[in-house]
Amino acid sequence: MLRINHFTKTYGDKKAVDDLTLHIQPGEIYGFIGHNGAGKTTTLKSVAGIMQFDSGEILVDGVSMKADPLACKKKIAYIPDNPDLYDFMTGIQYLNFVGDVFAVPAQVRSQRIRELAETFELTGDLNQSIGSYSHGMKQKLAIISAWLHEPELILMDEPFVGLDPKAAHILKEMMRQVCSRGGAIFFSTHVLEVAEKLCHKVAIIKGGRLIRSGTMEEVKGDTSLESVFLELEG
Amino acid sequence: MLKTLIKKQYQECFRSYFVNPKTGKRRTKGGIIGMFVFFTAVMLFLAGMFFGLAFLLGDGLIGAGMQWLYFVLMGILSVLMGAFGSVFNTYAALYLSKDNEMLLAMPIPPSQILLTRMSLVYGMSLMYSGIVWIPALIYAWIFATVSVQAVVFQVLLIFLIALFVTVITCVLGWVVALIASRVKNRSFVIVVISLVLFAGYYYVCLNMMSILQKLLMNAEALGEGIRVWANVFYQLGKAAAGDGKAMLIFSGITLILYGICFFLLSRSFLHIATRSHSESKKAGKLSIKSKGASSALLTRELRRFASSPTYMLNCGLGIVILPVMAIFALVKREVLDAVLTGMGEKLPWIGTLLPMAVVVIVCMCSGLNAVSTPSISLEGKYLWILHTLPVSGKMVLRAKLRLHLWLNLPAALFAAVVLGICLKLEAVTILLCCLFILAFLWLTGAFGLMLGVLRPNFQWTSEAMPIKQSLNVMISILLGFALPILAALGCYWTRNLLSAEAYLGFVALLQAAAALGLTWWLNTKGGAKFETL
Repeated sequence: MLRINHFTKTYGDKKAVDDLTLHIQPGEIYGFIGHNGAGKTTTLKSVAGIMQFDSGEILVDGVSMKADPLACKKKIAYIPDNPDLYDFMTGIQYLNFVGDVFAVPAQVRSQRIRELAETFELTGDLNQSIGSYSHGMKQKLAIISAWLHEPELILMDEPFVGLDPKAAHILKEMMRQVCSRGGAIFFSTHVLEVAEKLCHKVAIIKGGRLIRSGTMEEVKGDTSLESVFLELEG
Repeated sequence: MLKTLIKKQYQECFRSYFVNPKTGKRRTKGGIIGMFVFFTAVMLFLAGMFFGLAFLLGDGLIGAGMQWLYFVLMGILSVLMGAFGSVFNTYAALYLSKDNEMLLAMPIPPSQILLTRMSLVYGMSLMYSGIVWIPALIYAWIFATVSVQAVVFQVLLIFLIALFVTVITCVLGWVVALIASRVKNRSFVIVVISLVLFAGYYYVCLNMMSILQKLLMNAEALGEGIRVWANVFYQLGKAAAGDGKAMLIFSGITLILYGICFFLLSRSFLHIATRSHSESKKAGKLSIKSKGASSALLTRELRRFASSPTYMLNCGLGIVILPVMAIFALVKREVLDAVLTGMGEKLPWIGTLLPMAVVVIVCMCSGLNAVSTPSISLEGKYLWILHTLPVSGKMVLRAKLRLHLWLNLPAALFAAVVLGICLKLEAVTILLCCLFILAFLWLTGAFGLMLGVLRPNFQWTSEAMPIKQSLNVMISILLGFALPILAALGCYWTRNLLSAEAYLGFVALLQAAAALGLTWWLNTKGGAKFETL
C-alpha cells in the first residue's frame, strides 16, 4: 500500500529525515514513534504530498507521489496534528467541499456524513461555522472528512490529541475497520500504550534515522514498547 | 512589558519591508531601499496633492488674515483623512489579531494588549493625517508669517491630531465590533457601514471645489459657526496659529478623550476579543449537495471573499461603484449631453475619444478590485488542505481567476453598456468597449494571481496584511490604473491614424494576448509552483 524507499528530506544543512525506508501492507496499522523533531511530521507530510523531498521515492499503491501526486492523493486522507480547517465555512460546507473534490456521490456522501457525524455526536454542530469549533470538534470534523471518500491509506499526525475518551475509542475502532476492509493506516503518536495495543507494526525514528521497525512483537519483544523506546532514545 | 509588546506589533507591521515573507530571510539592502523609495514616492505624491489644496485654501484665508481658519480647515481635512485611512483596519487591528489567545494566555493585562493595538492604530493615524497636515504646515511656513511658538505648536499638533484620529477610529472600530456581535451577517453589515462612509467621503471629494468656494466666500460666518458648534477644531486652528491657551485646551481635550476611549474599550476588550466570531445557525437540516471539483473550488473562493469585510472592501469596492456610477450617469444624462456638446464645440475631436473614456472609467474602477492578488496569501494556515486534496495547482489558480472575473465582469459590463448608451455610442462600439474591458479584467486578474504565486505571504497574523499592506496588491492596483491611462494616451496620439473602434479592438487584442500568455504561465509553471508552496 505504501512504500517509502530511501526517503531523505533536508532543511538547509540539517537532515530532517535521512534515508528512511518503510513498507506498509494493506490491512496494517503502522505506528510511527519518535521524540519531538525526530522527523515524523516531515515524513507524514511528504507522504501526504504537502512537502517536496530531496531524494528517495514514495509509492502509494505502486504509484509514485513525485510522478503522479493527484493519483496518489485520491487514495489518501491526511489528518494533521493541528487541523486548521476553513473558519469561513460551516462544518457541512467543508464536508461538501471535500466530497466534491473527491467526487463522492451525493447519496453516498449523505449517508456517510450522517453516520459519521452521529458517531462523533457532531450532527448538531455541522451547520455552525468552523470558527466556533473547539480543537476537539475540529479534529472530529477532520476525521469525518478523511473517512468521507473511503481512502485506501490514512495518514494521521497525533490523531488522539484533543479527542475526548469516547471519540478516541471510536477512532480506534474506525482504524481497525479500515484495516479489515483492506486499507492501511500510518500514524504518529506519543501515546505508546495506544500504539502498543493498536498497531500491527511500529517504526521508531530518532534524529531523522530509522532505528528500529517491524511487527510489534519484533520491536518490543518481552518488554513494553515504552521500555524499548526509552532504551533506544537514551 | 508594554515596550516589548509595541516593539513586536511594529515589527510585525513592517516585517514584510525587511524580511522576505516566503523565505523568512532578510531582504537585500537594495530590496529594502527599493521598498522604502516606492513607499516614499507614494506618500510624496499624496502629500503633493494636499499641498495643492493647502495652496488653494491658504491663498484666500491667510491673505485675508484668517490664518487660524486655514488651520481649522486643514486640520478637519487631516482628521477626516486620518480617520478614513485607518478606520477600515481598526476593527481587525484591535480585535481580530491571530495572536489574541497567545497573548491573553501570558501574564499580560488585557489593557496593555489593547494599548499596544491602539498604538498601531495611532501609527496609521499619524501616517494618514500627516499626509494632509504636514503639507499644510509647509505651505504656511513658506507663504505666511509664523512665530516660533506657532511652529512649535504646529509640530506638536502633528502628534496630537493623530491621537485625536485614533480616538475616532477606535470608537468606530468598537461600534463595528458591537454591531458585529448582534447581527447574523456580520461581514455584510460591516461592508454596508463602510460603504456609507465611503459614499460620504466621495461626496465631499467630488464637491470639494464648490465647498471650498462657499467656505472662502463665507469665511467669517463659517469661522463663527466652527467656534460655536465645533469648538475643538476652533481650538485646533487657534493653537496652530500660536495661541497658547488654545493649545492647552486642544491638548487637554484630546488627552481626556483618549483616556475615556481607552477606559471604554478596555472594559469590553476581553469580551470582544475572545468571543467566537462565527455566525451561529440553529441545528437544522443538513444541506448535502454535490458538484464538480472545479465548482467546489470556485464556491470555496467565493465563501472566502464573502466572509471577510476587509477582503470585500479593499478588493471589491469597484464592484459597487461601477453600477452606482452608471445609474448616476443615466439619471444625469441631460447634463452629460450638455457638457459634451459644449466640449464638442471647442474640441471637435473629443467625440472620437468617447469610447476610450468609457473603457478608461470602467477599467480604472475595476482596477481597484484586485480580488485575485491576495487570494494565494490568504490561504495561509489552510494551505495544507489544498495540498492534500487531489486537485492540481492549475485547478486552484483557475478557480481564483474565475472568481476575479465573475465578480468583476457583470458590474463592469453593465457600467460599460449604460455609459455607452448615455454617450450615444453605436452598438458595435459598445461591444468593442466590452471586449476591451473583458481583456483588461482577464489580464489584471491573471497578473495579480501571478504576483500572488511568485510573492506569497503566509506568515500574516491579520488578514489586513496580505490585503491592505501588501506590495502585490499595490502593484496590481497601479497596473489597473496605468493600463487604461496608457491606452487613453495611445488613443489620443493615434486619433488621426486609427478610428476609436479600430484602436479599441487592437488594444483589446494586445491585452488578450498578454492575458493568454499569463494564463498559460499560471496553467503550467504557476500551477506547479503553487503545488510546492
